[in-house]
Amino acid sequence: MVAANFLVALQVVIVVLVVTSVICLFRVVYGPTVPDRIVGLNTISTKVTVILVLLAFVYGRTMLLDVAIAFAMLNITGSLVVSKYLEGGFRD
Amino acid sequence: MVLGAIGVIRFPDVYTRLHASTKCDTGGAISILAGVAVAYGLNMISLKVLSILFLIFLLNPVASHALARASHKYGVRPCEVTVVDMYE
Repeated sequence: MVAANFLVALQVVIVVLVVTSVICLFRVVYGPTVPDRIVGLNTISTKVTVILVLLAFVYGRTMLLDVAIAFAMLNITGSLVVSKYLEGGFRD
Repeated sequence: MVLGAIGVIRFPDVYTRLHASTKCDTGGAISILAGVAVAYGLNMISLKVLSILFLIFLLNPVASHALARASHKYGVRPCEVTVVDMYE
């Protein structure tokens, strides 16, 4: 269906995304404030969603796409909830 | 997305890190997912990929905006070289 060079290129993209996730993990560990850590976690979550989609394409497992959909929705929900908590509650 | 990660590491405060991570991450994810959807062709699987694309395109800027507003209300100050802060 697809050429072998294309799959190798997608595997290289997966490795690059994992390396950049580790770079963002540095900000999560050493962040000075709480919103810094949440920025790092948000970035890592988006990267992991893309990594799941690429893994599903390369290895032919379409089950991983459902995992990616659920992960994207949970990522956004968690980030919004922590933001509202830092803002001071759900009063308004 | 590589440049976004470098921006998350190198920029001095929360707002510039949000500036780096949001634009690079959303744009990079949308382009990669659109490429995967085109490579799958037109069927139910590419519909799933396009739904992930739509979720990221719609909700990632919303989360970043909420996070910037929350960090301003939480009391995080911008760095020293900030010229204007219109959200006082």
